[in-house]
Amino acid sequence: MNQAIKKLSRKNLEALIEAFEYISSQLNPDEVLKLVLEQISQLLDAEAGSIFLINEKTEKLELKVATNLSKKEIEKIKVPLGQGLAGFVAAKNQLVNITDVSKDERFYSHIDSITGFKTKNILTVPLKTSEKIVGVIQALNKKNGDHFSEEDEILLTEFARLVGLTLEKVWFLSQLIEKQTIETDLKIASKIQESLLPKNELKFNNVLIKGFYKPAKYISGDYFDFFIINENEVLIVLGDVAGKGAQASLIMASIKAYLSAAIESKLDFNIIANNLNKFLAFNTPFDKFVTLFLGLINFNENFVQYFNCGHEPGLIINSKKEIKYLPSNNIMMGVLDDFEYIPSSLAFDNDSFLFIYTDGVTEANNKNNERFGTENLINILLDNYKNPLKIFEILPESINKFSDGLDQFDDITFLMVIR
Amino acid sequence: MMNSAEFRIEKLNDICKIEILVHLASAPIAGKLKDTIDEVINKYVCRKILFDLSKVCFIDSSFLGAIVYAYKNLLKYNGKITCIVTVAGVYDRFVISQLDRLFNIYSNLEDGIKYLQN
Repeated sequence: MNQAIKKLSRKNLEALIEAFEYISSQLNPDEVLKLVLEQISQLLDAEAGSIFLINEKTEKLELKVATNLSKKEIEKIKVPLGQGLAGFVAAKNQLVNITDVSKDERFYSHIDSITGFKTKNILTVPLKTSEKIVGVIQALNKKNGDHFSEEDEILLTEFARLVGLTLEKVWFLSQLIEKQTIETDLKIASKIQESLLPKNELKFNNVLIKGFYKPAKYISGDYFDFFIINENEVLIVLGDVAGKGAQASLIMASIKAYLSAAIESKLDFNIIANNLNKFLAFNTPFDKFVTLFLGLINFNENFVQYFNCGHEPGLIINSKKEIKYLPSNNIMMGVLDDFEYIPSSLAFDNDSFLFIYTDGVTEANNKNNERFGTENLINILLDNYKNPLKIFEILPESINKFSDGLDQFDDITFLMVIR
Repeated sequence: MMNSAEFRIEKLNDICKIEILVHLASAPIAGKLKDTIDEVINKYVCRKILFDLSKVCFIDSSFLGAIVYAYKNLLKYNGKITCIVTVAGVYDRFVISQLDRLFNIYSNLEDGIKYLQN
């Protein structure tokens, strides 16, 4: 027990303990402040009270609760640190007991003019957590007496100390609950996003189409998909929305929705690409774009028609270990609504495989800030050209080994078509 | 104009040069670059922006997004942008994304300024 508290009468000490028990029963910070306001009047035998909290960003004290003021009026009252009585107490970390406000220029009469309340005397003490000053507590107009006494000063100071500890606890709990809620929401969003990707590989005649997806965070802007167009053709897609997080994942979901509807409507491949670009240009923020690989594979005529829109080059590797590239041939989608997207074509024969990937594969880095790179990727593809399915195991393992424990920085996604 | 640890901003007549001072131009500073672009376009009414990326060794899609943000914002004012790039990996990124079809990219400041002046 500190020295000051010993000066309190037994009655006040008991009232203080009771007030603390009362306010600490609440876990909601706003409710705690309301209870504190009630207790100020009871403990100090004051006509009114108020609590200001510091907004660290604006460096102003903001009124949070006050007797006789509406919520709207409370929200308007903000005092710069160092100014007025509350600002002085918070800046100087010093109690101020004014016995006659008319004689003290630090008193700010504006609040009285709003409420019609006439402040005569006022006791203001700093409100502190274990680390810092977070605001001030005020008691206004002693009911039985001319002003607040020395014992009132001790009583309010000790009460403010207990309020500070209580607020520290409830703020921490609120943050924890908020974090857990966000975490739960993100886990749900992650599950929804994964459900938008194909669940299984596609076996189409003698062809296997399969994707791999590993997001860096819960939700990402990477996307792959495949759609059967007819008995000879399959449309494949792999995209990467600029940036990460919720915004990127929502854009990714809208691409999936657009493509599903466009394919269902049997739109021409050219129209699908050009309309998708228009849709993205009109419906995404200025700093968002999508690098996208859209391919239409004709297994009867052995060729792939593709739009590589600002994406890493795709690769076709045949049984002779020969590599053909499918480089970027159009600008990223969503930048210019009137850009005309034109496809390219390339032979895609039996006994070969097509590999497309997002930059998370080649840009995976390690502690020395080195990148996994296209050379490592191509070596893995060539080493496994006889059994390309092994790439689904070996590539993620190699990236993981290369990263050497460093957190995954970008989403890793790739798609293969094995003939 | 506001300089920071990440950007140095300089006015060259009607051109605003934003020099990127970091080696890794990625998501954490892309948001700050967008704020700087807003300030340059709206507060200082600048319609020609030169991004000097000569110190940048790596650029990610978020940062590229901030440059696209400047390009799209200036389209409505008939403004233009250019980038000064000296590192091959960064240049490749612009080529793969095909952004070099929308605005010119140079390896030195003089050529970039000439492009914006014409």
